[in-house]
Amino acid sequence: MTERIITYAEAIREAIGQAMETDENVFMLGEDIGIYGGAFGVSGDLYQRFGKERILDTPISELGIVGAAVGAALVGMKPIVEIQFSDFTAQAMDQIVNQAAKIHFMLGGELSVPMVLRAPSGSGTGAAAQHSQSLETWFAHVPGLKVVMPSSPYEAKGLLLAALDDPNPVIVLEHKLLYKTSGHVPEEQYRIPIGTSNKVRDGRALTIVASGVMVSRSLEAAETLSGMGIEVEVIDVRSLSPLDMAPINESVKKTGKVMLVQEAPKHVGFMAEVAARIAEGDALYHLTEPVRRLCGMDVPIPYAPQLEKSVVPQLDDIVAAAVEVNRGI
Amino acid sequence: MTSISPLLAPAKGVVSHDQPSAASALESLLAIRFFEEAVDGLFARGLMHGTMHLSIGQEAVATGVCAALRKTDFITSTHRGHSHCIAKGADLTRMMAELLAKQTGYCRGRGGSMHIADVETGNLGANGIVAGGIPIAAGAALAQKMKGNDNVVVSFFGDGATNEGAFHEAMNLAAIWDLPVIFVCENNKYGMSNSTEFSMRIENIAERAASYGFEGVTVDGNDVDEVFQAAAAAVEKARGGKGPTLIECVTYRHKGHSKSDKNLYRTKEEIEDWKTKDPIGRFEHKAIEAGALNQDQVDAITEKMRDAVRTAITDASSAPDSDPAELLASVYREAGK
Amino acid sequence: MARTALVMPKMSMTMTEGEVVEILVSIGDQVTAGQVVAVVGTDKTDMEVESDHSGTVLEIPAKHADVIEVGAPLIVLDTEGEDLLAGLFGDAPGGEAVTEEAPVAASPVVEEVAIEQEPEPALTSEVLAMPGARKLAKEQGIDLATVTASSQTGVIKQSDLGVLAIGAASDDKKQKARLLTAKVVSTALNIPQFSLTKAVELSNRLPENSDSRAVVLLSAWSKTLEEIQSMNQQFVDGEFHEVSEVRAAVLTQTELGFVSPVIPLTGHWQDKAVAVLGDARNNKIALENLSGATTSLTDLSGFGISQANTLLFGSQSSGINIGNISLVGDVVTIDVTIVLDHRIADPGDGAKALDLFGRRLNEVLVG
Repeated sequence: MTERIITYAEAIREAIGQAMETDENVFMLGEDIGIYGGAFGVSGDLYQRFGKERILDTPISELGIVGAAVGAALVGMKPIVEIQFSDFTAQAMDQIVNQAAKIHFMLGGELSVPMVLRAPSGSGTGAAAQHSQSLETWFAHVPGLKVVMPSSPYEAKGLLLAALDDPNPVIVLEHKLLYKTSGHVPEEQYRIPIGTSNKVRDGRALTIVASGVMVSRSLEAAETLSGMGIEVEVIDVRSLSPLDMAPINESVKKTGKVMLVQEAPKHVGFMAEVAARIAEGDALYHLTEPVRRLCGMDVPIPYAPQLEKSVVPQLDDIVAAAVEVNRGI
Repeated sequence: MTSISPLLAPAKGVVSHDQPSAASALESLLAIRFFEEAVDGLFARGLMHGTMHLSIGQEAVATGVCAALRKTDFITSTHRGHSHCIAKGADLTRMMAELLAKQTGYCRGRGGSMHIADVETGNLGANGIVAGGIPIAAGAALAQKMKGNDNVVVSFFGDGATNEGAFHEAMNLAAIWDLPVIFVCENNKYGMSNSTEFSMRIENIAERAASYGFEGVTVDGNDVDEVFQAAAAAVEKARGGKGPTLIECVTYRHKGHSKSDKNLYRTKEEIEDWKTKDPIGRFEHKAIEAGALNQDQVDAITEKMRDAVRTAITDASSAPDSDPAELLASVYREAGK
Repeated sequence: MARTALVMPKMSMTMTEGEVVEILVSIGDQVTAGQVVAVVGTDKTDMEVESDHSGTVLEIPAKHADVIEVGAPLIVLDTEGEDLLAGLFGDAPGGEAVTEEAPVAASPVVEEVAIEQEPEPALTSEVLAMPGARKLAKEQGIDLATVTASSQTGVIKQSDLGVLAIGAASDDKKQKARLLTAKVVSTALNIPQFSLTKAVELSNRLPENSDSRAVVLLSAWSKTLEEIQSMNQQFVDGEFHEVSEVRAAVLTQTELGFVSPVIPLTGHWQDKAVAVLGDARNNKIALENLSGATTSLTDLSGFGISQANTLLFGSQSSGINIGNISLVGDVVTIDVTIVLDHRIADPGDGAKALDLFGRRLNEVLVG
């Protein structure tokens, strides 16, 4: 049987559609997700299939719609909010951070907010500083939120269906550059457990840890490196909160070298947490080289294509840095 | 377990004219008043931790609005939320236990005064963020509409909240989607120290509804009957699928904003003047005038609610302190629960 | 009528006590609810205290300039209605002040503590080393300042501690390695040790392959150690310890020189030993095979050495060295030297061990 190949955007749409068929409490709300089909085409024909009540087109009102999703989730609905660009979550931060994340804990545990918030994240589209950020660390820093970053069409469907099963607020950060990429996705429903990291490539020379689009970019780099005789292991941190360090530590103990790749600015970025956790555990004693972080520059994302590329790790940057780490100090 | 009797909508349409509903409204008014006076006293004696925001003087708003609601209707509340919780039927002992940092409190000691929620009575939570509960109320109302039932949602908030973006976004969404939500503004004239004369250019906050295309009304927030009538009309409209209403209840808080308020921004004369319009005295007077209650009944209810609050304090005090051991496991709800 | 205390109010989240600035009433005065009866001062400002009740002033326990804890009485009234909280917190129904103790911070207890002279902290920053190398050095009792890094950057790694390069490396590297060896074995100076040599006759030949030979020799030596219980001990930190797991450092030749992977001799260790020695020859030694030797095997039979006296260092309490192997007729003779920690064994034990080793080796070769 040949594998069914669909795009990342199609995989997300399929997950939403299947969830809506299975559970009448699931509905979607967001800006231009109706007849327009979503800013990145994710909702597509869901509006025609499920109608305007369940694919709820909203005004431009991020705080209001996230708040509405929190309220609906509190009384038994299962809302999927699409925020058109992850940057716009800044408009809705009170509802995400002070309300959704806190309600279960702060109000004593009887209520919870089973809401899924999806948002396109990251750079590479020439949309400049207010439409290109990688803000995962904001959310991962808030107890009460779960944060996932699907790295492939397969991951996108499995993580979204798991997020919809989860009784807690889950932030799903989808990378814009991945929407049109394709891969094998089973037609049936399946779940990828939130709170797991995933080894996506075996190797003995060094360990690369990445999330989202940096996973596919690292895998591409791994092929080039393989041609140079360097076999790298790649770990996909698909879930930032909760974070599963076990496969990372295991790999570091095996290779003794680790490179942490992220698109977001380096300063106080998520990979700093991964580095700290490696340093706190016994994996530290297996390191033969210092931990290396390869991150975005500490600047807002610029517009010009050559500028934009220069601030975010590209394929060649990953290859070059991996060669350096492998060569050692 | 001590809570007020279910609030009853009056058969004659006027709360103070109807014996059973007047009695239940008076219970609500006095339970709120005694609860908050007790809390104030406990704090003054150093027996209560943190801070709290008292609604002494504003009891008629929660009482009048909740008299128009069913148990299955929902509310969202504010940092000054004791009155809403009590009027919707919360257990005074569990509330007091929460304020006394006990394991048996509504939030197991994790929330305190500003964060009481009660699933049992449809209270979706008091909120420490000004206007934080308003979009949530719109969402809960959206869910009622999607589920096809006729429950309504009331969102309580203060005058200060109407200058927040969350208020305006929620009002607009409720309007365009005809949501069964009633926005109840307790205009006590001050957002902390900021008077409404200073913080807005309009005479009445109810005018703000016009810009979203639905009705806004201003009522005397210290008169249970007026509040109830406005709320009952808004609830009927919402249940009938005719969308939201904004009710502005003009009232006044006798105490400072919070425990560190020195009342530097308002005059003694103003406070004294409002104390003469105290909602509880007014309601007792009206009910007795109308013959719905006599003085003996008023005294009996007073004694009953006083005892209820004292019992709540005694019972709550004997409960175990909240337990730090369960904190880490309480951040997320476990799947399947 | 009831006695009701007006107390020092808590007026901010952090207030624990207040100063009485002024008492505005006298005993016998009538006061009404809401009347200002006193002024008290906090760290921030002065504030008026209003009476919660109407009544007559009975007592005034507080006076000007007193500093009073939150909750302690300022003025006692004879009131018509009873205080809402009366009697709930141990205060008598009659209203004898509030006895509940206001929370007071425990006064600090100053204890005199004899301050011990801290040892001078080691200047670790002067030596560049990866954390794994530091851990290993600590375990082996090696001073990192005596170790030479193999990398250009001068950062010491685990591998720098594992390699005792005296073989085919460059002169410069050999020089460094010798220095390292000298430093490493300097820990041997702390171990009183002696050696005994004997020519052991064998009825069969030893395997030609050095790894197989090592396994055979280790088998015989581990049986010897197991059987002479008194010798199977370690002297660590001034105390004798039973060796729970015999671990042998086995000198192994690599392209770069010699390394000594440590092989645990428990369970079915033989197959593993061959794998570890094979990896070591390719300069790969896992962390668990880098340290913790309790004994050692130094087989120099291929080098025309007649007798080797290695030194015990670190956690080792014994060592066995193989020198010349000669063949006369069918009889194989090997020169065996054992080195022992004198605190654990005396020469008598040593002689017994050498004899037993010969017999066990013959049995292993037959089996």
